[in-house]
Amino acid sequence: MLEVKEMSQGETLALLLRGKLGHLGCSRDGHPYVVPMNYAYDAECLYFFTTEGTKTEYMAANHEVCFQVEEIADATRWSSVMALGRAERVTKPEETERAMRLIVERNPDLTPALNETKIGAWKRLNHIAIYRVRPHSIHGRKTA
Amino acid sequence: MIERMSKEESHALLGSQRLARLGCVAEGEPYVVPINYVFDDGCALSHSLPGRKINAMRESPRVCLQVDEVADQLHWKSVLAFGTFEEVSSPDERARAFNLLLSLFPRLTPVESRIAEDAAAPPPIVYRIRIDRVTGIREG
Repeated sequence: MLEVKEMSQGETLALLLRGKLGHLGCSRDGHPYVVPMNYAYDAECLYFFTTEGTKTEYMAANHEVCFQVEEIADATRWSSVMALGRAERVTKPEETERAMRLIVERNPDLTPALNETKIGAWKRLNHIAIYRVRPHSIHGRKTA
Repeated sequence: MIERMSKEESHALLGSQRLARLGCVAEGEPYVVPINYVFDDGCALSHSLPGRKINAMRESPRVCLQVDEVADQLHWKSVLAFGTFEEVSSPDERARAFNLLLSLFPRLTPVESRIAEDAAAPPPIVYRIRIDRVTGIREG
């Protein structure tokens, strides 16, 4: 028997703090778009970065995003959290630095890739877009 | 180096996986949930109890499925399949789809267990996502 129940606020927060890879959902004109995304959460905001492209276009057209993070052992043992909020672009230098530091601390393996991206692009921040989402709603479900 | 995956490679990943994140649009906003599915004849088949995602897809049938295989942060594949939600309602098709899903996920989902426990439980919805476009990227 598999029973699914709502997670408590403490459980959803803990899962978001533990996680480092989630799925960002955007939508535009009724068309959804979902991509895996490394992130960091500081208990207030989620931070992630991406290069300019489809995602940034979607988020420019519709700021509302859904960030989903899961822990799945198998089909009968899982939990999944969804954080809904507006994706805001982080542009101030001290904020971008803090956001990048948080993301890289949470995802140390990203560093080689990040260093590659840094060449040329890092200084011209317009190639990398950093976002912050302050969720207005967080909820989760898990198997009992 | 991030590279594009061929259509064949993308379809192969869709066919080999059982877990996807379903992206749909609920009241104009994106909504993402993990689902179990099986890839069958160009469609992803799944089932669900009535609820927010089913309402969202009935309202706005354009959806996407994101499927990945992640070894680590520098070795991964991710496929995004776009398609249209269709409810499977004819009894024959429902039975076939249900059997296929149950054969792959014998203990899966609250659907069967709740039904077993509660005769008044709502009937599960069987649906397919008819996939019309697939993109994939990989690293490593």
